[in-house]
Amino acid sequence: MIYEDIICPVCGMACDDIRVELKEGEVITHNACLMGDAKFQELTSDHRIIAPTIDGDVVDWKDAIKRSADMLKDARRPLIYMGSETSIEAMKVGIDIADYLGGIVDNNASMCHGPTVLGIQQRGVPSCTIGQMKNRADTVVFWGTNPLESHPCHESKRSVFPMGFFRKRGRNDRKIIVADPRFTNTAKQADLYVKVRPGYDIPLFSAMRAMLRGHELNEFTEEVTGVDVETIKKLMDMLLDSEFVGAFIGLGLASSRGKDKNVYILLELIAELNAYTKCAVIANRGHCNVAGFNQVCTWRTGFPYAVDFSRGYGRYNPGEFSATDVLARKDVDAMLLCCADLGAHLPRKAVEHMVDIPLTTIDVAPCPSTMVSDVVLPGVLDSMENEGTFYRLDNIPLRARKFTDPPFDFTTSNEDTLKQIFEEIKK
Amino acid sequence: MIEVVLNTGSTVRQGAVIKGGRKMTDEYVQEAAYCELNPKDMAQVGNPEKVKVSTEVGDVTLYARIDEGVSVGEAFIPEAPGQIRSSARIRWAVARRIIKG
Repeated sequence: MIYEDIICPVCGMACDDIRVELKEGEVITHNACLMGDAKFQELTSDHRIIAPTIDGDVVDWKDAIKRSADMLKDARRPLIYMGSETSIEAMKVGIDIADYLGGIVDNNASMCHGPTVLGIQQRGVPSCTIGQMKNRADTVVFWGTNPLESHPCHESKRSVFPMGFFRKRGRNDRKIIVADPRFTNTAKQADLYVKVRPGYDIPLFSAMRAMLRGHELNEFTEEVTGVDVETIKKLMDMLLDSEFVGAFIGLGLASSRGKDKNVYILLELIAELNAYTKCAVIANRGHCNVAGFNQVCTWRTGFPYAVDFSRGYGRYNPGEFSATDVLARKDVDAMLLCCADLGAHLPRKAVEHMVDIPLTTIDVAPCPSTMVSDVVLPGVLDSMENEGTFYRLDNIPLRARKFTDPPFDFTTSNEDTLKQIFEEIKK
Repeated sequence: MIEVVLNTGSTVRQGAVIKGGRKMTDEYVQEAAYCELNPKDMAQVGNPEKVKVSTEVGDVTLYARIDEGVSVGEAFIPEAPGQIRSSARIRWAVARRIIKG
């Protein structure tokens, strides 16, 4: 069977043009990148988790659900960690469990573009859809991001090469600016490459603002930012000569020294640029539905991530209630981990506490997190085995259709699994 | 020994291993456990097969690779140092798991 226009649940691009061909024991994808294809191959992989386990032993599904619920019920302050490669419907249930139990809910956002969200909260963001970027932008800026590696279809489908309504000649109608300390594969295609000194984005943005206001830059600019005055002048000329600047920012800003302030100062610069040209910015979100978590968490709790309900109402304080911090400080005494492998990605101190507390993991493949879990529940591949809503990196919701069924019948989706746990908790 | 600024990021091949659920394989070590240096820095440390990278929070030994895109005085390691120690981490996690019972 051939299925058209399937949504890829891997990176923030959430490509909606994947063609999947299911043959006997074989999955053939079209329009998917290396990462996307790897995820679709999970449908027939031999390592897929298909049975629930407690302490490594295969058990009945109902027993595993009950044990998960009991572990959360017995905790004083559980952590519900909702990964991003699942639907917002599942995320909603996860947030409701944390609210009901007086626990903490968090997501990948707190350890990737969390600082970007903080910067946006401080300054506000002039943004648009990635479709508008494609149709309008004649200058595309990639700052601290390498989409050829992180979002392989970004340039080919949305930002650099495709024909746009006002950019009929595709790449030939667009100028590309890349700012990165490394001369990456993305930088190799750039019309202007700006080699920023690692961690010195704020001085560079400040120098650009100074130049915009007509101030002369002196020789210390290069010493501080790593970029010579001539390049900054060329950069500003390109931006000011544009009809529409589409800026994509990555973790090079959010995870470098300065964190949220990098984004804040960039947004200040963009506000000033908008007096002369049109400029919009989009964060290149890494995971498929990480933007979705920020959306659903905001409309459920008022806050985008790292929300604590221990006082009976939502409190938001990244650094205090974010998953890495509460685990490293041993502030939580049970954990439900859904569709994320924190065991492989968090600092050792945080993982040590994951090992020490009762832990339930919902995942499709064996990973360090499943190895340290008390209960492992088989995950469902959202957008393949069940329908759901995914938010693309520009915060546009896309409805994903299912085209096959899970290899088991005790649950239909991650949302269903979480609902079963929630029902058991309420008993 | 040289002092460098550590830079991290994702790579598409590493992403393919992760998304394909193959974290427990040697492929993951191949695609994530390396450190890229500029040819000049690499020559300065004697063009070794492996390098030991130390930061204020720990150290790790990785395969050394040359990348001219990395500036002198900088090093690139895919994603976070926590990830590249996955094989050691898994062994450690299993040990902890046994102790935990």
